[in-house]
Amino acid sequence: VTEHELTDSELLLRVGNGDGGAFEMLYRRYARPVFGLALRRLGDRTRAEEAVQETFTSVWRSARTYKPERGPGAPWLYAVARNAIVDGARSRVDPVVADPRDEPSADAGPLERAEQSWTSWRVHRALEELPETERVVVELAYWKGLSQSEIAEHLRIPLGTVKTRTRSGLHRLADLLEGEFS
Amino acid sequence: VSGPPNFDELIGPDLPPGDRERLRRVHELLVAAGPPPEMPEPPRSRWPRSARAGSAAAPTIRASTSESQ
Repeated sequence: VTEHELTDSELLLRVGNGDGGAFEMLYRRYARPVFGLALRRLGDRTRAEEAVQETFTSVWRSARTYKPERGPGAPWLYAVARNAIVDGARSRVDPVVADPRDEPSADAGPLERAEQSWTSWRVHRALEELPETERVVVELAYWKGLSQSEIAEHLRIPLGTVKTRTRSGLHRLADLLEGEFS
Repeated sequence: VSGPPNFDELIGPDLPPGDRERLRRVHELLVAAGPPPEMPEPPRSRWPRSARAGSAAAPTIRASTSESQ
């Protein structure tokens, strides 16, 4: 069984039994999604880093309460992260709690903000599963605004390779997002 | 940054319609999600002590799993 073949549920069950290796694997999968969620809510990188620590401390302590028959691991981890972020903010008597901001758009309502947070969580989590070669081209295309030719030049690889990796990365993301990380 | 990429230019014209729609949904999710943040190295000194101790086994686990690939 490779690391990528272990589902989130399986890792959580192992963490619940005190398996530190499984904890580290889970950290690698979820550190960036948790950090992103915390950063959107708290708006401060230092505090977002603290929230990541608080989240994974909570995961370590409460993983034994996870029941796979109640659902996949990703929503459970999302709930733990949200609680840790809100609790951390409350403990500092933070005005963010009174006016939580999930999202840059000031017009978004609570439901839209919640949906946006969940979408980001799922997508950022899925990105962690891509091979590095595919993740890089997807990130350069979507978030650095580079064209396929510019990516080829930037990475010094043939244009055809960029196209192949982009398609392959998107197919893999579709598989992951449809499977929803059991 | 000049905004999200043009889906049709990104994917090209030769995908079957079913695959195309599948990838279009992913494209829309990527655009909606926005970029993941750059993240610093985790300060592991603040993890629970028992997790720090347990995770020392991680390299062994990774080594054994990579051999099976």
